[in-house]
Amino acid sequence: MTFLMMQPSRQVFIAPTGIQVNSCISIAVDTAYVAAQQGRNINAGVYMMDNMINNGSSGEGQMELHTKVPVGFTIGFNSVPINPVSNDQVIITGFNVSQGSVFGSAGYPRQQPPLGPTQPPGSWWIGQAMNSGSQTYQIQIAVTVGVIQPVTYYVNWDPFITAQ
Amino acid sequence: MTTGTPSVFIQIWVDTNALQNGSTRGVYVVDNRVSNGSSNEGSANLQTSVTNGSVVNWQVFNVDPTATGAKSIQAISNSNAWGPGGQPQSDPTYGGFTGQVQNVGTAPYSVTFNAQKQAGSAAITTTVNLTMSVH
Repeated sequence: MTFLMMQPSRQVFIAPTGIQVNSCISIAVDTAYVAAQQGRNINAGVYMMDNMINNGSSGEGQMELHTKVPVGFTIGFNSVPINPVSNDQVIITGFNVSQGSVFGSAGYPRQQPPLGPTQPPGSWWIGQAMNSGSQTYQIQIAVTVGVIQPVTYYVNWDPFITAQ
Repeated sequence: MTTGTPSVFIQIWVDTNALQNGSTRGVYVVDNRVSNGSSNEGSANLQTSVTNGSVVNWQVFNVDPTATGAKSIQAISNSNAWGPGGQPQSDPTYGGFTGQVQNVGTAPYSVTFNAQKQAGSAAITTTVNLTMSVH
């Protein structure tokens, strides 16, 4: 894989065809920390925040973010490594809903084109809160470290969304 | 002027829906040094733990990466952590500000940044009080 040095400034540009989002969740990952855990359970190194604290979200900056949005809101999911010069990569590989049905099937998150030339495919997803209520869901990310022989670690955890 | 590639990165994430002058609501600060003993990750009171001599870079990010409002660090305060020659300054290479820790000990510092809720709106100025623990 050819992967030139990622531009440290993660200024991004909206693709002309991009879907606008009503709300957004960003996931910042300490890639070296995650890699050093060698697949053990982690309770740090992954920091999740949304732009809905004024709507009642809680757990900001932690793994178990509880996002609150109005029904109908689209929700962007953005993943970035905290160290931009490491060449480490963080992408979202998928979602699962274990309890509740805020996304329903129509609002289930889908991968979108990356927001800029320095972002890898998989770093930007959009879902929509179609149904009122609460859900527990799982996000899985893939953290890839190393240049000579990249190693990928998968991490998943259980945040929450309430739509009202 | 400090030189060298940063190894410590401090990201200041901003929820511009929540920003208000004089408040740190909606500000979440993280670093890549939890393995080194950093604490209060994800809050506006991050304490970063680093080894002496580390080069540190600070940047501001919008929680919504599609937001078009401008955001930039205005200043990073003096601190004992910077020692005689490590004062963080605007960094044209890596973006944000970059400095070097040159003094062992635990010292407070502050980062002042401007952020617009949307492009063209008045910038809101926010100061976060952080801590650098150098060993």
